[in-house]
Amino acid sequence: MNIQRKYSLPNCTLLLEGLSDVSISTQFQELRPELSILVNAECYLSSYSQPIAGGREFFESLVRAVSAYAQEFLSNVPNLQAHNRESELVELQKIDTNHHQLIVHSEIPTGGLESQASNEGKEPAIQVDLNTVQLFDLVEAVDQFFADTQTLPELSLELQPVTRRYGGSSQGVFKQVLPASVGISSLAVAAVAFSLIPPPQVRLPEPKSEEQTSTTIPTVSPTQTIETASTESPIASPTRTTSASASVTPIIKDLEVLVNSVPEITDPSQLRALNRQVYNQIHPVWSNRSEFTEDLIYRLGVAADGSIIGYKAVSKGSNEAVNKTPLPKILYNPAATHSITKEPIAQFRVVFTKLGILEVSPWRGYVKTPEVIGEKITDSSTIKDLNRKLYNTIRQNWSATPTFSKNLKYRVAVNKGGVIADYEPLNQVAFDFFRETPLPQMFQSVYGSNLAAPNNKEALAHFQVIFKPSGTLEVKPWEGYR
Amino acid sequence: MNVSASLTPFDSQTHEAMPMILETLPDPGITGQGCPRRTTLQIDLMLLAIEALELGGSEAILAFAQELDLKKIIKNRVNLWRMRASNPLRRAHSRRPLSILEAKALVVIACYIARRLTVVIRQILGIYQQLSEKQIPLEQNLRLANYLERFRTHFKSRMNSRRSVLLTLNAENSDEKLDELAIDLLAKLLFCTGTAGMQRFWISLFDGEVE
Repeated sequence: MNIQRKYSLPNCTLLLEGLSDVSISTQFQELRPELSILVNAECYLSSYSQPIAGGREFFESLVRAVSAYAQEFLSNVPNLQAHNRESELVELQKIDTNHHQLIVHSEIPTGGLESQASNEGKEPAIQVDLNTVQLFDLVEAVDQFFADTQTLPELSLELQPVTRRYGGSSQGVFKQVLPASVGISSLAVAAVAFSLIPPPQVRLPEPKSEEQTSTTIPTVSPTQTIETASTESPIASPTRTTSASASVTPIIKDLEVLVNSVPEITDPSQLRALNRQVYNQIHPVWSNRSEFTEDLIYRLGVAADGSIIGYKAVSKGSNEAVNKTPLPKILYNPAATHSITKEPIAQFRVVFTKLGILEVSPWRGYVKTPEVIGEKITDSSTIKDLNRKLYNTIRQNWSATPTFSKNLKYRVAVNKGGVIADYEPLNQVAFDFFRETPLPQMFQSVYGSNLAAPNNKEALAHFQVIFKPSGTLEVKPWEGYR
Repeated sequence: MNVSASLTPFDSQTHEAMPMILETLPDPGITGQGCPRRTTLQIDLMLLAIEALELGGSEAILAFAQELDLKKIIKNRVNLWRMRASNPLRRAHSRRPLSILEAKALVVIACYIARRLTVVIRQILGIYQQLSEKQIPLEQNLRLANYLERFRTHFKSRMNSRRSVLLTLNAENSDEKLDELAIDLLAKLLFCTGTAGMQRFWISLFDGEVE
């Protein structure tokens, strides 16, 4: 069935044409059927004589760029998602306080690796100047689309503040770590993803020879922050419960479909613990960090035990370069007879930045401040005692002169005997400089490895530990994530 | 959009009855007590623009606090004034930080008032657009001139001129700069009127402030 959707404002009209998915719509006789397959999108702007039209790739890029630029307009903090010339068809640039330019590039040439080289050949096809009111109408049309749950419901408004990067090379420029992400599914065809099927075959040609030589340069040794001390066992072997009736479960190939068919984990505390598990799975096995020429972004589906059961590239570039990332290797690969049926999953956004930094965050953010899970020691005199003990232990073991310039913040958990049971970096510098702290050695001396996750069910006392560039150490009882 | 703010949540024993309307705004992942300086500055300036737009704007803020069941947070005039004095530019700047909850309440109210003023905001921005394109002095239009003049007056009477150097405002060209600021704030108010305007404005207040 052909469906049209129109979002109309004085200076901007969005017209979407598409189809409803027959398999869904037969179940519900709805007055307003869901537009689930986009065929064509047109954007009419009062300052441009003809509609700007395109397919799903164009439309997704449009809503991403417009949404991000709206945030940039409100905060005056640059939002890279709004002008991502390398991987987006649509970008927005500020001309002056009252004028903005919408730029729609022609289709990105095929072949992800070559597209880097052919960037300069990518002519901007259309440039439309908008004043602020016209820009607002465009934003509002996009927001009305986001709010419409019967039209491409997998695209919805997801906002997060632009992150401040510490010590960036360019002073005063905020680098975006968690882009004000629109909840983007991925490109319809390009990014058919792949959960529950064996890791995809290498489809891309091998990187060019000069890139291959760079593989020998190890930028970051595969170090590991420890697994969470939560009660959940990490990376379980494939012993999943399947319901008896699941013998003819259809194979779900698409993360999108999976997400829509199983409950989603949204509990912030659980997300936080899973976030660490995801980070800890990817971080040590990402060895070719110098090879990344652009930020690669993926959406991950993760089961409650931390196994990665699906991923989906957020952009075409990310899709084509997926084999450069460790994701295919660490994808949970259930035995053929085991299929995950109704297990809840959590979604994460994973970014492999071109600077070699790994970023993991919940796809939809945290609905509220997460808390540490597990049983806790609550007796105040015991905590006081453990606090002092922990301070002394760290102080004695921390002798190196700090090379970092910002406070390193950690959550450190100890058991009633004062033995370290867990530590978790709380800011980016803490991730980057954890080797300078005595925490990994302390942990290793107890557990023999920095990798092993202590499957610790005893009550723990949690502390916030701050290593200051001045050499000062601060240990105080944990007051929760901020 | 959740406007049924006067409903009492059923699970009031688990949460300390927080007005439901504030739940549409997520907690930003910021460290430290209270809002960052830029956040408090921006909220106060947006409210200043509303006051310049509408006579009795500060009355409206209190009226909306009542209507939206936010009286627990914005109790009275003095209380409101103290919150706004957390803006570091204020003459009467107090070091008392603006809590996240207070910031949310002010943002919700600002967006509700802005939404009610949508037509006026669009009109004035449209006039500004036309005049500036034709390079006609802005005083030519009474409505626009009124807004700009009231904004300048409010700003000068309440902000510390030495501190406002932060906004690159100084004596010689301050009127022109203040007009620019007033227009910029008016455009931002327009964005607050949209379907997702409240969320957008709220999140934007923490851009560059989270780690």
